[in-house]
Amino acid sequence: MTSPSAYGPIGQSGLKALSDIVGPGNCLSQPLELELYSYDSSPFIHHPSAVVIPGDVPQMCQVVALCRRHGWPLTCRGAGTSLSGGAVARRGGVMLSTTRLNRVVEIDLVEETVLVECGLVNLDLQNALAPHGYMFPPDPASQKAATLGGNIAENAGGIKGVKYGITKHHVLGLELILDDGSLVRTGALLQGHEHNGPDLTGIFLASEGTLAVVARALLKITPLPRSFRTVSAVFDDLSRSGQAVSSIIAAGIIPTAMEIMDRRLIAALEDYLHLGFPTDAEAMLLVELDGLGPELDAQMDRIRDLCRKAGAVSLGQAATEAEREKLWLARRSGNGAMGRIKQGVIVQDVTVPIERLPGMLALVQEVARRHDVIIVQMAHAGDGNLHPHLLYAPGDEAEYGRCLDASGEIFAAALKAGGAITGEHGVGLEKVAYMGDQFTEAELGFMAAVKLALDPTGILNPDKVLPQKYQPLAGQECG
Amino acid sequence: MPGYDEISRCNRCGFCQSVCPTYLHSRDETQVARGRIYLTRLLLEGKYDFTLDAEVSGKVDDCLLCGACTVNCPSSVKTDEIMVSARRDFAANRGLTLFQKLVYRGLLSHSERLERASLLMRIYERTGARNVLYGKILGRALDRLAYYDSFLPRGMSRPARAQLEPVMAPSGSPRLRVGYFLGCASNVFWSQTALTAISYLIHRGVEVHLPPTGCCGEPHRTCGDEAEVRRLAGLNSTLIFRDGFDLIATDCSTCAQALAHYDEFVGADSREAERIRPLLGKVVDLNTLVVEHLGLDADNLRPISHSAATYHDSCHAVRGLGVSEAPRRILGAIPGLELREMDGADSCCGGAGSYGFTHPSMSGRIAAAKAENIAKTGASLVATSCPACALQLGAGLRRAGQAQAVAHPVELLARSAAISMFRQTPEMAQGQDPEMEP
Repeated sequence: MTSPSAYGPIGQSGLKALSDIVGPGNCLSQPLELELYSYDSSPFIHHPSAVVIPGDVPQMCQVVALCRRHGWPLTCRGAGTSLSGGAVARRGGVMLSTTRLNRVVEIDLVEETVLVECGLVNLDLQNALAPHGYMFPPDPASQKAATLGGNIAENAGGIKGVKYGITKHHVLGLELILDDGSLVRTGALLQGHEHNGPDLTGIFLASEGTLAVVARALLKITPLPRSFRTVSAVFDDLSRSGQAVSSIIAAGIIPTAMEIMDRRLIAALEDYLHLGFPTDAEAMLLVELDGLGPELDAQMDRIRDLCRKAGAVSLGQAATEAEREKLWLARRSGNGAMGRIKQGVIVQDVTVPIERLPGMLALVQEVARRHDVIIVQMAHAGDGNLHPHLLYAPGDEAEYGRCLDASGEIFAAALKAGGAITGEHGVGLEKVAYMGDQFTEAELGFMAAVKLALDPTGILNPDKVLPQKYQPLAGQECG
Repeated sequence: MPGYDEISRCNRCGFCQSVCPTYLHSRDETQVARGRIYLTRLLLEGKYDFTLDAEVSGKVDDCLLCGACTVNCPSSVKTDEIMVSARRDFAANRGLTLFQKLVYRGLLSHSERLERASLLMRIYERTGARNVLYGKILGRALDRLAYYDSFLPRGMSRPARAQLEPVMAPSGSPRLRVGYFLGCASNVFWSQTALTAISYLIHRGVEVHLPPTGCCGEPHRTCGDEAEVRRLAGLNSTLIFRDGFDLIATDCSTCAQALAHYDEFVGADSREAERIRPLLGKVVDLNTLVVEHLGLDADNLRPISHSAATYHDSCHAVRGLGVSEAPRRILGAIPGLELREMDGADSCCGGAGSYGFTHPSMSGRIAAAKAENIAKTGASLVATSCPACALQLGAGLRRAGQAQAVAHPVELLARSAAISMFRQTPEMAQGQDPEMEP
């Protein structure tokens, strides 16, 4: 029986309508093409029924309107680097790729803003801003590939999050395509400076494409720091590196970045980049400061002291800009380098209050032992954001099952410690089952009400973020 | 195919998007390394079939094999090698394409046929047939023909081999004996470059040996024609890997990279592989030969007719052989010549052997972007160390209506050193510039 809430099939006429909007070369529907849009960087694989790659915002609007009219599920996708299954078409339907909307529209150095299209790659924005002496602070490790639309949809953090905050702190206004295809603006993109009505921009941050499609964004830009100091501290115990982080924050120092890498990660990155990392160390902590030179040196001495007190066995410092860049390239490559250890990976991004970090790092190690799985740990330690990488051999169902069990235990522990199940990778498909553990009925009901108001037919990225009973529709597979 | 483990090391992090030329010029996931890897994974898992799915082989053939993804991959997944082995399996199951049969087996496998074909190209070029074709007969309708025509260098000289001798000794006792591997493209399309480079080596006291080698086999390797790779490598191997040579050099970085792996080309387990393995270290690209073994002889250099040059890194030089400093040092040594780096100097030009012919649309887009990057430097000269790149760059520049000349760094060095040619070519006797004009 077909319920009234069923998603409509696309069919040949639907494909024709889509390709009439975006042009035949930009509408893909061959089985092989759909294979290549069936995944992101998470373990989830679901095939869309059609892929469209629009060339401009009006085309995007028409595609969204068409999906609404026919009840086709619509999954928006940037670079497809989601780690939580946010960019896969769980219910089939239309995959809207934003990758060709990749222009920097306008840099305003007086207002210190930049207007960008949603498919612009984060690093391409950084490269466009750098000659003007500016940066866009959010710098997720995937910034080489990830798009700003995706950064906004997931509320991406990054290595510099400790000092500069995450994506939501740098978005001034959005141009959004609502589910009926209409284009609206929010925040500073509206006329007038003083009073723009209620601040609606915020609800779209971390909404993972379930409320509207981001077309363009007005972003706040920040002057590039004048100078940097980067120190690396080696520990023979993982939780001691966490203690160092807690004590640095407690001392009132706000570094730009504090990153922890465990033994296996250090070895994998050394294998990739040959930087002379201590492959026998249990943990390495990278701390970076930015600002003005003289002030930094004093802070750096203090940080080295605190690391020693926490039990650092050796300390190093990046002597040149090239050395510094290599250290960060190493850290950013962490996720991709997991393939050197095991091919399957579930990446978590739980957060805990900073004083709980040492305990949480140790707990994850203990969970790994108990479930007999490899968990590689890295962390944006400065904001209490852990990144346990749970590894499994593809096809080994038993091992994958143990990873899921271990994963559940880590989520529970993070919540118990007063943290959250996701710091920056999003809920996607991966963490939907744990939403009820983090939020109350009333809170989830409130989110569902917002979803229902903005997407009453439930076409926008179905099954993501909200548990099934809070979704507008319980649809069926798209034909 | 490589093992499943090697392929599944790719955890689809997407970093390859930032360097894969076909992705950057399409922004389409069906045109990026991680997608190609994913397809070969589905082949291994049995979801698709080598013998049936032309579409799969098409996607595998779309790869330039530039290797940029591999060096930027946190898990070092060797996409280029995986694509080559997938093509080998396709070829074994379905045979070669008509293009591969005609051009690779038909022409490149037989140097004399390529040389004869080049005579036709020169006649076409010299008689003004081009103008007749486009101006009078075909009008402007045949864009595709104009596209292919753009590859033909203007002012082609006779094949280099016909103008050289098997052994060319310097005056005085030689400081080095070098086996010179004259590649197909250098012989036919870049003959003035080869002549100039060889003349320079002789001038610098090198005894140059020119054994009658044929195609290095790399084009055949890239389309999976393993039998022909072995045959060609077997023929060349005994001629070029000789104890008497101090070094083995070539002006073509594709040939140089192939020669450096000749133990695999001739069959890794063969007796010939065992024989040549200790000699592989003697293979150098021309830039390295000059910089590391001869020295730049900077005192005897004078300005040339250009004041700014930019350098394009060929994939086989920069990623295959790790050569990027030597050509820049050569350019930097020429008085009055400023080296201006272009954006994406080490990004593939889209030439990739015959890619320009099999994938005109993608290749053309990549070439156009290169031409734009070259224009932005304001340089009047593009240096590169590979004749296939030179053909592609020349074509891209010609189509963009740009006037930059394309030359090998050592060719420019020879001009700066104002050496006399080993043999004067008719073109030079007529006072033409011995560099490729676009």
